[in-house]
Amino acid sequence: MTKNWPTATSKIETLHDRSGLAPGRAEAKRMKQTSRPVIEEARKKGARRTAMVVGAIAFAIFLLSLLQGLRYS
Amino acid sequence: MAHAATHDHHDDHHGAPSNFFVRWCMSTNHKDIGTLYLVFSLLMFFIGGSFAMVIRAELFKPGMQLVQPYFFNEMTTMHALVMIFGAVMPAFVGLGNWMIPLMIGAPDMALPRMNNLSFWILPFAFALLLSTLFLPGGGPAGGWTMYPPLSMQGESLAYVVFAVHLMGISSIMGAINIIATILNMRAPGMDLLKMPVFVWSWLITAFLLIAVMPVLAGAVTMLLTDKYFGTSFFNAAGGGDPVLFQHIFWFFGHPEVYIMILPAFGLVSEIIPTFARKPIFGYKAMVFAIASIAFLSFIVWAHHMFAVGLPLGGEIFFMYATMLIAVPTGVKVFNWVSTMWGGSMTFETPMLFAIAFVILFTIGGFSGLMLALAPADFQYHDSYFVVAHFHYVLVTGAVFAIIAGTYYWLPKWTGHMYSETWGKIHFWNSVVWVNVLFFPQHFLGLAGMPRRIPDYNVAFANFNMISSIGGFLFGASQLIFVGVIVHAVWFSKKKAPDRAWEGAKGLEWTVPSPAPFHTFEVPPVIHDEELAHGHVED
Ligand SMILES: [Cu+2]
Repeated sequence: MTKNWPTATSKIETLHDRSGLAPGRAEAKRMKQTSRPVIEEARKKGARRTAMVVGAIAFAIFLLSLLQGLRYS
Repeated sequence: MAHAATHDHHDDHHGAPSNFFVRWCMSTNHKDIGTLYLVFSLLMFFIGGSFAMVIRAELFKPGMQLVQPYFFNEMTTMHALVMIFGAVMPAFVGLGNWMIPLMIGAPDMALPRMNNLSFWILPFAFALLLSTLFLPGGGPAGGWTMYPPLSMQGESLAYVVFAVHLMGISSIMGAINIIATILNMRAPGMDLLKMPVFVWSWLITAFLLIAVMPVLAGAVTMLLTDKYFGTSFFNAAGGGDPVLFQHIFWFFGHPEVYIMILPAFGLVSEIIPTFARKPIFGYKAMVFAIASIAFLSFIVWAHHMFAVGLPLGGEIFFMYATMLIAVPTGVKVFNWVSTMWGGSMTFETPMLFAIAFVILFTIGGFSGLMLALAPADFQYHDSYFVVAHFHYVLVTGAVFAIIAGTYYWLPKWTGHMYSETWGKIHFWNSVVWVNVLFFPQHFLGLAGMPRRIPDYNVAFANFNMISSIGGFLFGASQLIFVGVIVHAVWFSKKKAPDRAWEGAKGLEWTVPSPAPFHTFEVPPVIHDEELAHGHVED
């Protein structure tokens, strides 16, 4: 999602680097939480993308279940 | 639809809209939508409960006393549909809506308008479903599992299928919203492995919903085309197979029971540490156990079908796969007990319900293990033993956890403490009568009483009468719950502090009580020691 992870600023951050940081989190840390638009933009984009992907999966599963019905009846 | 999260600037500093219609019908606020879900769920709990009262009244004595057999069958079918899709699932979505943003430091759900839509579909779906009871030919009476060919009788099927589609769409949108919220809206510093267990449980549950609700939709769509469009998916005369429906249905149905229990695990994992004043034992193990249970839930569905004539290899596979679930579940039970071990425990109402959950859910788990034994299941199948089993899991499991969660967060929602005395009266009545209600059903089932029948052999008379008495009193006890809630919302004078419970940790306790209309509009600065598991190493 976020291609260029910013350099970790602390040991804790390094430890958790791969554990799925919230988009906007890294930017926010760097900017000491002053930049709301940055976070909001990242959230908006991320939420939209997540919803599309997850929704598409749900629809594909619906079609697959019908296909299963066709195949075995 | 994909409008994200944070509120537009012009309404930043406003409270709730004063117009009733605008506030509740057009709400995009996670707290108000959470409240709507919870109120809806409580209403459905009583409607589904009244159906259960009809069932227990008819079964009070052998012989037919009160209702016609068809109506009895409508009651068992509707009781299940209403309780599962109308009471338990919306209650968890309501709790998730209210608490997930507060727990991860987000200003709202990621997709607030879709959130509104997810909720407002439900009243229409249930109005449609319940209206079938007034159709000339009656409502659905073939059981909530809708097995063909039985479910194909009568003209209510089309209505039921449409209602199920609506519920499914609502659940899928709710799940999309929860996933998008948890993955995108966490406050800086709220790493995935610092999230409260309740949030984790909901994240995993949401993926289960995404994976199985479309399958249910597929199954009922095929029922519909079989009945009205001349297909024969499940019609042997046309080359189809009725057992195929059972496979598809239970591929949805088994994960569905975990959809109803995993968020309950999450709730109990919040409550026990608070009142034991210790962090949860084995945080990562708890999260991993939830994920393992979710995975295993996809490969056990045919344990509902041992009696249909599966190949021997199938019986054995599904038997062992099912028994495997006892391992992560056992991890959870032992971890809850270990969390309490050596803690300075107090026994406020949420804790009482949570402890009752651990003990009574485990009874339901053990009877589930008994049912998982394929050879033994030929005896238990479709008997009252099954009824006893899943009511322990769903009533003393899911419902008790929902009640515990409600007591736990009621001070945060209302700004007032509820009456601890009446909470305890509610608890003790519930816990006693629920066992009087369901425990004898084990004996009835082992003695051979089938489920879903309006009349029975006189040999079953005594235990049925005891069970019915327990049922009436358990039902009546829930009125106390309503009383406690009404008192806490409108009449309680006792102000709740921000941190309503001394041992409570997590971001939700850092905001005022009652939680203001907008919270965390500026992402909070997270200090690990505020979190329940800020620096876990286990
Ligand atoms: Cu199952």
